[in-house]
Amino acid sequence: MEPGNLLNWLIFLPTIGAVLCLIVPGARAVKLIGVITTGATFVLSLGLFQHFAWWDATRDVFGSGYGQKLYEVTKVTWIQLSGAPIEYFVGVDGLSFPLVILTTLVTFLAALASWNFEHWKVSRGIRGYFCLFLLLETGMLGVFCALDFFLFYIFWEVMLLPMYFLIGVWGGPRKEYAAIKFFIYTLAGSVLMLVALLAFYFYAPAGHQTFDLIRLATDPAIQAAFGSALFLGLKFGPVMFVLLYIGFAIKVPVFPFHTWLPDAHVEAPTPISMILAGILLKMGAYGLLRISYPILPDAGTWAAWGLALLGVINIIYGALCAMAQTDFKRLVAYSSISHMGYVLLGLAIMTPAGFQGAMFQVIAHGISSPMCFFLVGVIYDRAHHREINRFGGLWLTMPVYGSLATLGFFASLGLPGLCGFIGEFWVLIATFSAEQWSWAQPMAILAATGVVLTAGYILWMIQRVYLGKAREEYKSFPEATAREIAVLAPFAALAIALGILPQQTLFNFMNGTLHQITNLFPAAGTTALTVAGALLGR
Amino acid sequence: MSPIETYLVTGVLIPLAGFVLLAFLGGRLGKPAAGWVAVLAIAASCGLSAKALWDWTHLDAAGRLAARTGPYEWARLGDTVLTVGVNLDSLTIIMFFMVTLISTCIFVFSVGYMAGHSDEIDHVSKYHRFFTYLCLFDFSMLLLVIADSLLLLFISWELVGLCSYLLIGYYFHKKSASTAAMKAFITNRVGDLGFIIGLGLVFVHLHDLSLAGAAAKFRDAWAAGSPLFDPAAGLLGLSPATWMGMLLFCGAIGKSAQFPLHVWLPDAMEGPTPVSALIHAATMVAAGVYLTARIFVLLTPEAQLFVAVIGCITLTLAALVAIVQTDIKKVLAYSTISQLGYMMLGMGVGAWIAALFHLLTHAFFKALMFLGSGQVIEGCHHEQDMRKMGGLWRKMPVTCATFLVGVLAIAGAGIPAAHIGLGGYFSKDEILAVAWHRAYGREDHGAAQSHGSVAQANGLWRMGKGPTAPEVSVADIDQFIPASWAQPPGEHASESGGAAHHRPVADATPREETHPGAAQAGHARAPGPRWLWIALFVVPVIMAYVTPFYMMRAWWLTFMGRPRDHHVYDHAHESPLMYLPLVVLAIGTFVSSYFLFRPLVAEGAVQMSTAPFLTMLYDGEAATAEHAHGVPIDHAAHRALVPAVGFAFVIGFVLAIAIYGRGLALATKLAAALRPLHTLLEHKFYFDELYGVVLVGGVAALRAVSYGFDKYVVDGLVNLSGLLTRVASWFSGVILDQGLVDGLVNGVGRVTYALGGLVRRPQVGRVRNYILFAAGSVAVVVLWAAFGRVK
Repeated sequence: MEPGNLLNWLIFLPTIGAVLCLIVPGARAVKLIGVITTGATFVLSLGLFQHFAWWDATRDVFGSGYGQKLYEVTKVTWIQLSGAPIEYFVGVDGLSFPLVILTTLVTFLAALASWNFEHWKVSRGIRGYFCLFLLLETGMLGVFCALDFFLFYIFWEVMLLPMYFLIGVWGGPRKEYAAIKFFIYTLAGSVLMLVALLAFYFYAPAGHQTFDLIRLATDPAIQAAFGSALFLGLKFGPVMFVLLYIGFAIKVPVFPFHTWLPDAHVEAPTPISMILAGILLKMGAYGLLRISYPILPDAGTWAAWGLALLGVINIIYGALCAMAQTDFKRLVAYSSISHMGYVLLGLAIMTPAGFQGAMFQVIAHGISSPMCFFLVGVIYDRAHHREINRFGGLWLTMPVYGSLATLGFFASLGLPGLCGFIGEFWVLIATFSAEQWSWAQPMAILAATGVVLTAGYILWMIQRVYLGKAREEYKSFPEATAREIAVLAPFAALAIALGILPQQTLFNFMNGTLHQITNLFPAAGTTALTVAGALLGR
Repeated sequence: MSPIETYLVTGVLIPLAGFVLLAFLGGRLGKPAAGWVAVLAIAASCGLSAKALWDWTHLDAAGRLAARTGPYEWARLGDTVLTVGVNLDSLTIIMFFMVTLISTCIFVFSVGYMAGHSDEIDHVSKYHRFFTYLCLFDFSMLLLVIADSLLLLFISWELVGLCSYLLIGYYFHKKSASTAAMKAFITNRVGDLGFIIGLGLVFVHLHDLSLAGAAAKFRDAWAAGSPLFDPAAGLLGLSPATWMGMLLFCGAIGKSAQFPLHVWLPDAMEGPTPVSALIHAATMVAAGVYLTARIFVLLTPEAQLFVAVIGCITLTLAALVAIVQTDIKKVLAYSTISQLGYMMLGMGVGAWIAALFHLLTHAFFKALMFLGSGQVIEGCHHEQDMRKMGGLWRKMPVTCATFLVGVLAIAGAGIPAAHIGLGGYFSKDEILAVAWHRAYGREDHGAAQSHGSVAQANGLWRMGKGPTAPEVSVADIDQFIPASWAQPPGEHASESGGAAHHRPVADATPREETHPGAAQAGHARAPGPRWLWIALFVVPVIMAYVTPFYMMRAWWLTFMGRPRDHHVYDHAHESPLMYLPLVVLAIGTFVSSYFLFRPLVAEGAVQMSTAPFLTMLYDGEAATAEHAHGVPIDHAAHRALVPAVGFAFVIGFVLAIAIYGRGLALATKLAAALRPLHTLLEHKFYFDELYGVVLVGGVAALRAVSYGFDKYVVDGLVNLSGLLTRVASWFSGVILDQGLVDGLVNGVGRVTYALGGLVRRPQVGRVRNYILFAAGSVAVVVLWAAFGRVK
């Protein structure tokens, strides 16, 4: 563990900005504060690269085991309990590092995307918007940096409220419905997480009680106790796994907990959609990787086929639903559901390759989906509607925008050479080669059909929106502005870079940690139990 | 990287640089500068590839071995290293040269073609986009050619698909164009679905995605008697290895427009004609054949049979449909599909060399004909209907003559005894010869195999039959082959090991010695009934008569006879920028038929020497025949072919001229007489309609069901639970809380109030009442005190 203060600054710099937003006079100053704060946070987060210098062969970036090498750690007692303290424990490793960078980047670009706030048809002022926006960033960064379960939980909730208001106040016509749906869903999930949190604390043997996520995963005494414990007469591991899983699955979102997402996206303003798709959805996957799998590996094995099946359902069902949409934003929202299915599938098979694919897909989707949502936002700002069938010929009217849109949507489609491909390919091949699961190959084949469906709905959308004759009513549309291109260009560049050099841009930063997590798992095949048997404690 | 690799890699990157340049500055460069930038880029590539070709032919085996560096690590999947590198062998070199050469011709043609086209749609110029896409296409295609791993193949594979999509949809203001583009991409994706699954199987079973590594492990697995080859371990009585090969081949089915995924290629003619020439005839669609050639080492006999059957079905269907097409580009499209079918058939029956040779010659003459049709269409003001043409030879002599070269080449015209011919005469007939051998020469085949080594078999063959007069081109080329190519068999054995470039399995010992059982079993187990093999020979032979017919029909209707539409005829003209490339391609057709191309392909066949299921059949005396372990087929095949197809082109031509020589009258009568058949062909066997109903309709139904489920069931449950919660809260809040709990509280209050009211009544403020109360109370207390104590 290497102590440092960088993360504290990262997490709380946006909070400072949020307070400033309330103080400074004038709308323009508020916007400036928002953009500068998020920009500074992004620049600051780049400082983390110094620790993950994989190109420096003399450095042992990842250490010998899970949690052995954590960077920029702050670990102080926060609340003293009888058994063990609740700590303010933050740190970053190969799992959280890419997500922290993604968060600061997407938030910064989303702040830029908010620059035309005064043109939005909203009633509430900008001050509250940017204040909540920055608080949201604190919550998100906190979630990714927290290594104490209690702290994680706190940040999880911190992130929830600003999001609720950002959708509910600055959203579209059905914003109240969408915001409440989002809020109640996530809250229900976090309540289940709270149960698991307390159970982890109280089921640990005396003297070992802790909220420390690393210790929960690596302390043999705790692991042994969790392995044998019963919770309300059922096996502890599977019950906790299911509780946590539902909490995280709602965030991913996994079928059947997904219907809040299209509503939230459709109603949320463009920058909020970018954050929602780019980062919030990733927390579910991150939670599974940070909490569920390291602490409850046996239960992960037990749940594997179920999770994989849900992943496949997400892929196919999401794609089919996306194909049925006539609202542009809803289509992109359903495509998110489809893409996140690959993440779940990759996680479910619990192999290094699967985790790599899942994490790559997380980041790749974190790049392509905000880009797609912003692309939708650009024409929404001009046309004030999102009906796919009413568009046409936009590539002629706005050539630069059209080209960037093609790139963004092809990245989403999984075209080789762009980021979406690597994640999907890794997950598919990993699933194929997960020979410990007899169901893996059929699932991989089913999941691969998503490739065709994805091409179907994306190309059909492109045809209806961008191709064809330019329509009269859109001929006056101005080309993408410099600001809009500035938002899209980083996404486009990253989509290409990740697609061509996946190893250097991403895998090298995180594979070490992912391997360490898989090393925590028991040898494959030995713990596979039937569903009923496991749940009955046999 | 070695110099040759550097040439190739630079040759790949230059078009990419051209793409980037044009993408950012193309609009500013404008017309025609943007076009010339693209030409410059591809010409530079072509120059580099020519240099590479020159150097390569002047290298000896050791030098070639040394020229291959790499592969380089690209990424890790789990713990498996995925590599990329240049697949440096003769096939790569010659394919690279062919692609760049034809591309250069087509790019030049495009500048001329686009000059006459209005490229402004709604006052937005798209001129530079065309050349931007062309550059990207060439980058992707060349990357595909040099790819040395299945993964890199797949990546470039998809990229050429993207370019194809963009270029078919170039006129995307037309709905038909954007639909055709979408159809092409999605149909290809269906094939890719199979390819991805195949890749997954390769990864699972062979743990390696590099071509060489996978081939080596495949052979080892066969030698070790792996369950991979056990039919019981697979589905439907086919071994996993067979499935693997068939699924990988699915990608080729999509890209090479083979049955049943051929439907996209005719529609792809919506793209500008140069694109049709470059992508949808010469290079990209041939990529499927190239892929099959590269994965040939992974194909079991059953999978090879599958390839052959698909190819045979395709070539038949397409040739029949081509007869009735009236759009000049559609005729060429269907003839392309048909020729691709021939190549696939060749691959499937084991004519590896012949199939690739046909690919190369076909690339030249089909590009030639497509560009010729482009010249015609351009010259006739975008008229594509051949029924309105006729007599154009006066207006377009060069186009007419060069087109005829293409027709002769595709028809396989040649004079058997004199050993003169063009294109298909060598390449297609060689495929047919091998098919004949597989159908009728199986016993010989097995006998040849029973001898331990191929060199021996070769020797026996030579002693037995004697060196017959060469009937194919290779003998003519011998003089062009450097001395190092023609070594005695004994030395070839070692050279083949050396030339197999870093392939660990390609040790100096012949394959049979390392695992004799494998080789024999591999050959002896030719699957499928004999009639099927006979059909695989007879049907293509019959179609070899149809090909000259429909091609001559197209040529005659376009250039000969009387002009049928004077409006079209009067405006017809040709321009040098467009017909010069035609001349180059016509020369290329001739050169590729005779020189350089086939020997290099035959050399490329060295890599096949590691395949366990080797059905490499050779025809003629290629100096390199001994390199690989294929069985040289005897010339009986060719002799047998002379009466069968030697004069097919004459018969086809005569028939076509007989019917169309005097215009369309006779043809119309014939069509009326054969109405049902004609209708069936006109509707292309109703494939589009079938897919439209079954697949498109099926997906549409599925998506409606899914979304309905989402909207009404899943979300319905969510909203229902919300509603139930509200009802519950109303019950608890309004009924229970306000009614009961609050009712209790309020009840207590009300009772208190009522009591208070009762109590209040006496307290009306009169002093005398208070005094009375007080006095009464005192009296009670006093009385109680007085008498209560008594007890």
